[in-house]
Amino acid sequence: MTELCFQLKGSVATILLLELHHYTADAFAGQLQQKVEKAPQLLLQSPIVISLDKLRDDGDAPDLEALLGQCRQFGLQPIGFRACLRFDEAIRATGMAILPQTSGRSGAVLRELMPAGEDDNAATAQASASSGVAVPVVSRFTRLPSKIVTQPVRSGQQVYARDCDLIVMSHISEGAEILADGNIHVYGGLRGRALAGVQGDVGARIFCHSLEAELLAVAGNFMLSEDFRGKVWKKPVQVCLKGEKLCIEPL
Amino acid sequence: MAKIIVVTSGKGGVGKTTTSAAIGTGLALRGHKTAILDFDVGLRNLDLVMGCERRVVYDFVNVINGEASLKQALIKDKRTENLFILPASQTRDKEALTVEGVGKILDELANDFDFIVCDSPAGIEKGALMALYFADEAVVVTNPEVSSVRDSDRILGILHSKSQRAEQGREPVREHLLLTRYDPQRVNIGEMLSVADVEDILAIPLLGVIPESEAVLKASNQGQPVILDGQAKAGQAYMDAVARLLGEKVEHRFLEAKKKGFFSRVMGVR
Repeated sequence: MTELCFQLKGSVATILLLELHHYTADAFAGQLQQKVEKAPQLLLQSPIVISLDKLRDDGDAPDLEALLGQCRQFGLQPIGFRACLRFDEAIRATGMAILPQTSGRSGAVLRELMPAGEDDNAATAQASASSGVAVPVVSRFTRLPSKIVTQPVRSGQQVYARDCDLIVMSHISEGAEILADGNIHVYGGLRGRALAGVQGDVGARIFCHSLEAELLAVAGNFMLSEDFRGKVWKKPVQVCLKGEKLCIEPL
Repeated sequence: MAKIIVVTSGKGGVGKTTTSAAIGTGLALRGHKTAILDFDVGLRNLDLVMGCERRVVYDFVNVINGEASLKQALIKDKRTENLFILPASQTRDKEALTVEGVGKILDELANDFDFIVCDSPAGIEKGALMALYFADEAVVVTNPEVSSVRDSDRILGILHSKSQRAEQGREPVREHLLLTRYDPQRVNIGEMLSVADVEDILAIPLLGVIPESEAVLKASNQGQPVILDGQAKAGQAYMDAVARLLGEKVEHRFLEAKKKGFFSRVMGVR
């Protein structure tokens, strides 16, 4: 049998959304420059989706080529548009992707992601809401289902839950390893190695019925069994990250 | 259609060949036509334990290579009706075993036999993988000590991922735990893992517990499966295990240390 060259997979990525309220080339350029100066790490080289959903309904479609040009000029990487049908033709002409419109919920506002330095949050939010460019983040409406394992994970086996939580309804043997990008739940003895948040999610946690692990790790911060062979041994616990230190708390 | 049972363990020296000989003989004694296949190419032992080493003409690899027919290579046991042995080759290496070759032999045997017992070599390499690949059931032989239990755990993982049943997504291989060389006295003083400890780690149903017994070594050296020794506890325990394998409910025996009588306590005799 020949090996497969590729595999098609569904995936969810968090992407910045540039929600256009109204467009005039000069005002847009000015405001975009301000945003980029304020949070260069966040915006430079960022893939971005331009939403025309909230565009004020008072005239012709904006000059999309010019809009794209300005975005690129400031270091953004537009990858597509989200818009209603009436813009379809104009968007096709630019060669960009058209993303389907999502239902009403709007994402978390960028403010949360901005560096905390200049604290004129309320004012900025007000200003941007009234003046044109607001840049909310698209929230993850669809979430990958957790990976559920019903059999014991045995010595020498490895289970990885990519982009989701891992739930094991049996035990993890010594010499076995379980990993997840999200949280890990083990409804049996956890005797092997458990690594949560392996892509760096510091909010990930490990929950287990009986802690007998060889190694625990959250977002790369780990502990060996000799560090927790005390009160919590063989007890139901949760493991989470506080600062850079792993905390084991009885449940 | 024959049922294929692999006797496996991961670790060496825990009693796989003894168990294969005992269980194969036991099944035949119960009236089922049974073949025992030695997969330990290069280190054949089964024929010694079965006492038929002088009657080996052709072997497993000869049949795979088409140098002999299955009928020529199968050795009929002289003591037990319905029992046949297919010895491993002493001179080849384990690479001689192929999925196609082994599959063909098992297919041919399946029409004629009720049970095929595959005696696996130690380790997790080719020979062991071939022995377990076609299995319907697995008897995992484990000694009550940590390294043996760890290796059994490993082999259970392999059964789950590398057997034909796993690859084809069919009903998984039925797993049985057989604890051998069990010494309740040493368990009591904490020198040995208990049945409960091992069950807790491996989490598969217990087929039987074979007590440590001098009769096992004696039987092996005489080329006589220990199950034929009705006096020995080990022989009785194997017979119980065979009954359970056939779906009967039999109480587990030999799990507790024998209480010392007054006399032996006074005299310090064991």
